Formats: sequence, C-alpha cells, structure tokens
Amino acid sequence: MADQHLVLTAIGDDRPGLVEELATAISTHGGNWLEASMAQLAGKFAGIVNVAVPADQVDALKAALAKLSGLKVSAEIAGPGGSEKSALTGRHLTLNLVGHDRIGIVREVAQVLARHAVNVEELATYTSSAPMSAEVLFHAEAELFAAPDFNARALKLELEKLSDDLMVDISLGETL
Amino acid sequence: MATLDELEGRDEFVARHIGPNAAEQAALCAAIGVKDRAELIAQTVPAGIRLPAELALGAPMTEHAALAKLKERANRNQVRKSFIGLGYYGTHTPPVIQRNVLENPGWYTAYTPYQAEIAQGRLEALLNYQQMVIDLTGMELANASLLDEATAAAEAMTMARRSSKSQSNAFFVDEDAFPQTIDVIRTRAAYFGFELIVGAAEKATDHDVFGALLQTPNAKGEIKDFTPAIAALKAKNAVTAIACDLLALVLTKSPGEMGADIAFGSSQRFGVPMGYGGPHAAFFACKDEHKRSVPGRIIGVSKDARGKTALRMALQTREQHIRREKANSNICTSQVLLANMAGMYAVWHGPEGLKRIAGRIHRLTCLLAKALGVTGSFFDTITVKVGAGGMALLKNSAFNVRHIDAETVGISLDETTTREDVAALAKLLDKTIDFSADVADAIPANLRRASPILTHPVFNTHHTEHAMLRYLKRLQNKDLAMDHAMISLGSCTMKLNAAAEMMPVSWPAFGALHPFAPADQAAGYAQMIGELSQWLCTITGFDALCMQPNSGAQGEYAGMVSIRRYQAAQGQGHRDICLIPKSAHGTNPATAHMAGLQVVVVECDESGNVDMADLKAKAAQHADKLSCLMITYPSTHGVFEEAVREMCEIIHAHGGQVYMDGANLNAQVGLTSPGHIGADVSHINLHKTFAIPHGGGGPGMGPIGLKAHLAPHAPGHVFASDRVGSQGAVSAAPFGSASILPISWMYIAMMGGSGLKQATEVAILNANYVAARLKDHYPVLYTGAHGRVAHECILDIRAIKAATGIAEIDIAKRLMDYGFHAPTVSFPVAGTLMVEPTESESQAELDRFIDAMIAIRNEIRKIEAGEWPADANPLKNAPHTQADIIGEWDRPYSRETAVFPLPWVAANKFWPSVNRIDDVYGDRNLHCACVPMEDYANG
Repeated sequence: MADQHLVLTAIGDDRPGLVEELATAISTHGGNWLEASMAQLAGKFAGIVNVAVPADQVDALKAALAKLSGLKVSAEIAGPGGSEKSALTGRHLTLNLVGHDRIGIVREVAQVLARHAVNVEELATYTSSAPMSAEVLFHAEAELFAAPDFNARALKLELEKLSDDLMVDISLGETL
Repeated sequence: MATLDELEGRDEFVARHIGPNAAEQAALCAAIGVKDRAELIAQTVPAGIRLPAELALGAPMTEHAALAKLKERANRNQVRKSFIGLGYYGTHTPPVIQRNVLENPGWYTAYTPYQAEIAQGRLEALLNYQQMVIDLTGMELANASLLDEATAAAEAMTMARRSSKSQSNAFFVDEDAFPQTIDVIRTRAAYFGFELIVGAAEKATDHDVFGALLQTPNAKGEIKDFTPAIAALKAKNAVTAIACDLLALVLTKSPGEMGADIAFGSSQRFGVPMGYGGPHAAFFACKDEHKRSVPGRIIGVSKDARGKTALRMALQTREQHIRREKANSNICTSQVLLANMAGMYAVWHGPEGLKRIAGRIHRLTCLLAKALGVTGSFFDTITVKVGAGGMALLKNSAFNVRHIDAETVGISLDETTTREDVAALAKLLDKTIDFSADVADAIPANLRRASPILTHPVFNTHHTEHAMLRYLKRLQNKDLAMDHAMISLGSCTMKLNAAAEMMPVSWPAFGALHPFAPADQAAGYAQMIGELSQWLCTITGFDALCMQPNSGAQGEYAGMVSIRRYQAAQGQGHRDICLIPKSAHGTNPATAHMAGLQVVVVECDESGNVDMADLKAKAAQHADKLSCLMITYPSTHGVFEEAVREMCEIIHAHGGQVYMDGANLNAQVGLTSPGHIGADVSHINLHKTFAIPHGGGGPGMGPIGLKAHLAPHAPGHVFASDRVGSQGAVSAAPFGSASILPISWMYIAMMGGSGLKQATEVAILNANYVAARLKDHYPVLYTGAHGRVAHECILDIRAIKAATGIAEIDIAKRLMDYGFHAPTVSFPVAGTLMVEPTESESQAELDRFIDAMIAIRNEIRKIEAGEWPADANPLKNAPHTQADIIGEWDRPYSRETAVFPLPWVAANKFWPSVNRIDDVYGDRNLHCACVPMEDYANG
C-alpha cells in the first residue's frame, strides 16, 4: 500500500523524553521520519515533522499521537512536493542577518523579499548579547527560493540599503 | 645586617607595580593548590614554548634613577619654534586642563565608556567635543574622534565608497592636501583596489569618481571656497570630504556651508602638545544622511530608567562587532583623552577667546606676509620664495620652517607665535614689520565666517579658573576610573599606570617637538625610541620594530600590509587567503579585509582551542593562495593552547606567514614570546602590556615587531624616509604617538627583565586565584591542559540566565553598586564575563572583587529560590542611584541592600550618577550633540 505523507505539528511543555515518545509513536506505526524542525522556545517545545506512513496506519497513528501526555499534536496531509524542497526550477538562496534587535526588523526584510517575489522556505532566528556592550543582537538565517530570472543584484542593493538603516550585517548567498 | 644592595633597593618599583607581596603570593598559591609560582607557571605555559633564558634587559631602576636617565635623553632634543605646519601647530595647553585632565588619573586611567552609567563625566566631555566640531565644521554630526588626520582621510575615502551611488572605482585627492595624508590614503586605497587620482583641486570635477578629498587651508596655506566643486561632484553622485582646520574655521566659511558631505582634520592645536606626532584627536563630521556610515565611536543622548537624560556610545555594535569581514574600517578606539582636552580648550576659551586667538594668528600672518611681499587668501600659512640665501639663513636660525623646494618655504604661525617671533623672522630675511600699520585681512568676503559658533552655554560659562576647576571635578566625580577600584576588563590589561611613567609626557622636551622637525633636533627621541625598540625586540623575539601604528587595530593593519608587500616582492602577490580562528576578535577579519585578503574561518573545538584538523585541512586546501594566519596568543579564550607552535609550522609549510595579535602579550613577557613561538609579525599593545593608560578610550599605541625578512616592508614615511624607510605609511606621523612612548620606556626601565617576568607570573597567578575562588559560583568556561587559565578567565553566565533571566549585563550593572567596573561583557563568548585582574591588584582588592561577585551570586540564589521576583530585585534594578533611595521605596529588598550590599562598600561608596541606560531608545532617537543645560540639572 502506498505511503501517505503527513505533516505533524506538536507543541507542549518542554520536558526530557518528548521527542523520543513522538518518534516511538511514529515508528511503531511503520512511519518513516523524513525531516523535522524542532525548537525549545520560552519553556515550550514545538516541532514540525514530515513523516511517510502506510495509508492504513494513518488513523491509528493519529490516535496514538492524541494520547501523548502534555503534547498537542495535529496532523495534516502534506502539500504537493512531499518531502522535496521546492523542486520547481528556481534558485535557492541563503540569507544571514545580524542587527540590533528592534521591532520591525523581520518585517522590513520580509517586505523587501516579497517585493522581489522571493519565497521564505525556512527561517531560524535567535538573539544574542553583543560584545562589550551586551546589547541585544538579532540573528536570522533564512533559506530562500526565487524564480530563475529574478534580479539578485537589485535584491542585494535593496537589502544593503536596509543594512545601513537597521545597522545590520546582511549577506545573501546562492546555494545549489 | 642588611646588605648595601638591599638598602639601596634599586628594584623597589617592582613591588610598587605588582599588587600582591611575597606573603600574599604564597597565600594565593595555597588557595589554588600549588606550592609556588613556578609550579603554577609549569602547569599553565606549555613547556615547549618556554624561553630558554631570562630576558636580556637591564636590572630594575628606581623611579628617580629612571627619570634622571630619561631626562638625559629628553635634553638631547632641541625645542625650536616650529613654523612647519602641515597639521601640527604650537599651542598653549591651558594649565588648568594640563593639571586636571592630562595629568589627572581620574581622566587618564578610565576605560572606554562601555559602562555608561559610571562614565557620564567623560561622555559629557566628549559630547562637548562633538558639539564643538559640529559648530566649527558646520556639519550635522561628529564622531568622538579618530586616530589622526591622515587615517581620518582614509576613513573618509572608505565611507565615501560605502555612501556613494557612483559606479566609478576612482577617488580624487587634492594634490595640495598634506603629503602625509596622501601617503596614508595611497596605502589604504591600494588594498581596497581603488584607483587614486591626485591632481589640482580645480580639476576634481573633470573626473568620474565616487568621492573626492579637498583641503582648505591646504598645504600651501591657501583658503578656498569649494561650493561649486562640491555641487558638481554631487551631481555625479560623488561624496566630497573636506580636510580643514578648526582654528581657521573660527574665521572662515565652514565645509558645511559649502555643502560638503564630510569634514575632518586634527584638533591638536586646541591645546594638545605636538608631541613629535601625537597622540592627538582627529575630528570627523558629516551630514546627517550619512550618520549610519560614520566610522568610529559616537556619543549619543538617551535616557535612563528614571527617564533622566543620560549619555552613551551610540550605534556601538557596528563595524567590528557586526560587519567583521565586510568591514570598511577596523577602528576600535578613539583618542578620548585628547578629544576631551580639545573640547575643554573650547569650553575654557569660549567663542570670544577662540576668535581672539585665531584673529591674532591671522593678524600676525598678514603682517608677516605684507613684509615678505606675499599676497593671496590665507589664514595662518604662507608660501614664500626666499631664494637660496634666505634658505641658508632660515636653516641656521632658531626657527623651523617647511622646506618646499630649494628656494621656497612654508611658514605657519600658531597660538604661541608672538610679535617678537614674527619680527625676528622678518629680520632674518632682511625685512622689517611695522606693527602699528594697518593691514588688510587675507580672508576674502565670500570666505569669511558669518554663522555663529559655540553658542551652547557650556562654551560660555566656565571661563574663570574656579569655574573650570569645579566643572572638571564635577565630571570626574561621575566616572569610575582606576583611582577608585580595579577595572578587571578581560583582554584589556588595565594594569597600573604609575605616576613616574606619566610625568615625562608633560616635559616640553618631548611635548613641543614638531613631528617633521629636522632629525638632528630629535636626537633624544631617536635614542629613547631606539632603546625602547631594542627592549621590545628582546621581549617579543623579533628582529625589528615599527613604531608607527597608533592603535592596536592600526598595528594589525601595518602587520598585514607588511606581509602583503613581502609576498608581492617574492612574486607571491596572488596569495590572498587569510585564516582566522572563529574565536578571534572582530578587528582581525576587518583588518584582513582592509588588506585585500579573503577571510577563511578556522573552527574551534569544544574547549575553545583552534581545531587543528580543520586548520590543517584549510591550510592545505588553500596552500596556493595562502597568505597568512592571524592568531591571538594566549587565545581570546584566555588559554595557552598547546599546539600553537605546530600551527605556525603548518602555515609556514604551506607558504603562509603568521600574524600574532598581541592583545594578550601580558601573559607572555619573560616566559615565551611571539618570535620564539614562530610568529613572523605581531603588534604590541603598549596601552595594555606596557602601561600606557587607556585614557578613557584612547590613546593607544600598536607598534609591530617583525622578523628580519618582513622588516624592509614595514610602513615608512614621506617625511622620515631616512629613518623609517620609504614604504607607504599607515599613520600621519613617522613614530605614531611618540610622546607617550616614554611611558613604556619608564615601565620597562623600572621593572627590568626580572620585574617584567615576575609581573607576567603574578598576572597569571591573580587570574587563577580569581578563577579558583569563583568557579563554585560561576563556571569557568575554558582552561588549559592542566585546568589552569592564562592571565584572564571567562565566567559563564548562560546557565544562570536560562534559569533566572538574570543576564551578564545585570551582573555588570550590579557590580557598580559594589563600587566595581564590570569585567568584559559577552566577549569573546556571548553570555559571559571575562576577568583579567592583571598583576597590579593586591590580594585585598582581588578579595573585595571576588566577595562582590559571590555576594551577587547569592542574590541570584534568592531569585532562584523565589525570595525576590525575577523582575524586581537588586540586579534588574541596578545600578542604584541616590535618586532611588531618597524616593518612595516599594521594593522587596532594603535600601541598604541596594546601595551598601557589603560592609566595606559604604566606606568607599561610588554613586552611579544615572540609572540603567536605555540603549535602544538612544539608537532609535539618535541625537549626538549637547542637550539643554536643564536636562543635566533635572534630577
């Protein structure tokens, strides 16, 4: 029987053993853990997992997940493309950004990206303490996807303009 | 019975400099579990890199013997009236400023004002300085100073590149800019790959450039209105920087009024002695639209937790902290002490006093010009054809002038010039001056200053000596410097700055020399610099020394440039890869970028050491293009890495050179050395290891030591090619900030080889004592193979932060309530404190600091236990001010806990003058000029 791709989102109070319980539930139902992104934020554990499960096990897996204590899990059928990252033709880019933490920093960068029709596929952000002053620095790392004909130079220039204003260091690189 | 040697006590200074005495050192050794210093050093410094012999330096000298010996050198300098100009002018340091700022440890032993709550005094002084620069240049924003005028010009060029939308790769330089300015710009432009066009100012607009540098008054003394040129350049998207003179600007049209984007120059003639080249503060101002691109530090206005006006360094995480390998500048420090002197000169004289001084200089220049038949537009400098005969007379006179060619001289008058001087000069050339005759100004109407200057009350209030004295004291009282308590900043080496080391700085025989005075007048300097160079070579294991770089970052740059020139000379100019460990200071990648190198980062392992496998792989991978490795030793993590010698061998085997950052040299002196380990070039932070004070954020000195093969490629100087070679310069003056070199000379002379080695060992002992006593309270992040730290230790706060929300910054601010300056915060690892006690702190002072840190840890335990809320406790509310305790008190801890947390605190209480400062507010509402007086008065 064909596999069904499910995307699970899980959130709960962080405690040791959570991931293991989640993984056990998936594997005992013949599920294959394809990829995941998980983080502990503000005392909560949150994760998103892409699994391939035999179609006849989907309901049983959902029921098992619902019984996990202290963890809310929801399952959705994966979108087209399954586990493949933007298989469409286009360009993969990596954006790294460091700046003073302040309101609007993500929005301003996102606006520039949107103007250039660049899609954000993955975004990880964190804050750190700056050398000497211990001011709060904001870091963001993003995986981007753009149409094959997009103008990288124009995007770079516009991001650079932001960088003076936000006092951020922005680097944009192409990943193959 | 004591021996005569003992009674003479020639090594008595060693025990004045080193904090713990023999009994205390024994106690410290016992506390960390070693039998003596030697055992500790054996556990700390890898045996493979230990020096085989003692330092071949002289025996220690007493303070008075060393001063007498240095005086002999000073007396060999001949101080003549110098009318050479070119950015260096005679000036009268107001005695009230000399005694209360320059010679006052309250001002010169302070650190860079990162901890703004205990630095409001010098921050206010720097804001006055910025306001003065803004007023005189007519620009909208000024920074808190740069290293010297020539490097400021180079910074203007790179800032123009960053700000300009022009596609051109060329930069234009006025051929009548000062020669040393052109020299430094040429060096800098080469490695950025900019094309340099040097030509007549009038031709600037003929070229397609991204920026232009024009000068008025220029090297010939001509003053010019660049308004049309600036507009024409702007139409081509070029950014224009004007080199100018603060005293001329009192009387002449400002660059701001001409439409310039950037104005810069030297503030030396505002009361700072020429000092054979420095230190002086270069000023740098620009239009508001460029504010985010300004190099260096800027003081800005923000507010504190009570809403009161408070000052701080604005935009401080730019450049080296963020941009790293994309940086246009590696500037870390400024010239705070000298900027404050210049700012105070303006406070002291006020607008009317400055107009009188500038007016007098101009009148005397006009009288002299008239007598010598010179016409034209000028302020204080004239160019005169005196013929071969006149030349000979001038050469043998009591005056120095600028020799332009075989028949032409430049004469620049200054604040110290008297009518007698001018009469004597004229008489030498067989002319007479009628001082009672009317003489016209040489400033044309269109260049005359119309706008008011220095209107802020601070420049119009403190004009009696009592008023000035009290203003300076009021500011000083707000700042915590080393005259109050230890400043245990990791990687900054805040050791004793002894009075005997400082005294020679004020000697006129060192202070009054022009940097381009003939060499035979500077024989004393030559001898002193020669001896100091020899001593530093012995200490560092290098063959040659270049004194030119006037900061640590500048030293890095000079070192990298030397490597690149050497490799080019070997036909290896294509080598452009620079390996830098991840743990490096941000200036390293910034410097490498400035030298035209591409940075490849080498990973560190879990113990913070360079990952040797990664280093080998990357050195091999880039072998064809490998230029060099930049490493810091002991590492930025405060550890003597065992494999350092192997690192050097790997790099050499792949055709590269090794640059060793000298920031941590204080842990090496007498035990090992960069040259012995295998480095090819290294900078030496004289302001760390060799006792030059930090000045509240400058001056610094970063001479470089080089192995013989690199020595011919070190920076030279256009005015001293006979002494330092003719390679392109990195700083304005041939020997950098020469007038503070006597500090390091005195330090080494008084300590001798044995004293220096002992100092290094005690620095390591003190650091290990701090680590040993604090490790049960705060984890010590990195240690060497035998569990020892080097001369500093990193305390990890991250677990505390995760558990309680109390961050390293809260501990830093709480230390102020205990009367201490915080250690280095979040460098080299975010979420940590790095402590470097240095050898100069006694056990009693170390114990006070440790007790304060433990008491703070116990306060955190109360938060952990729920006794105090996470957001209302003495740490989050720190620092506490008098305003806090006289107001309503509704906090869950007592007033006594707030301000007298340990019994001894009250006896020597330091009161922070403002509460916790809001950094974010200051950056969002950037204001970098003086605020109304009421703002200081309120609260």
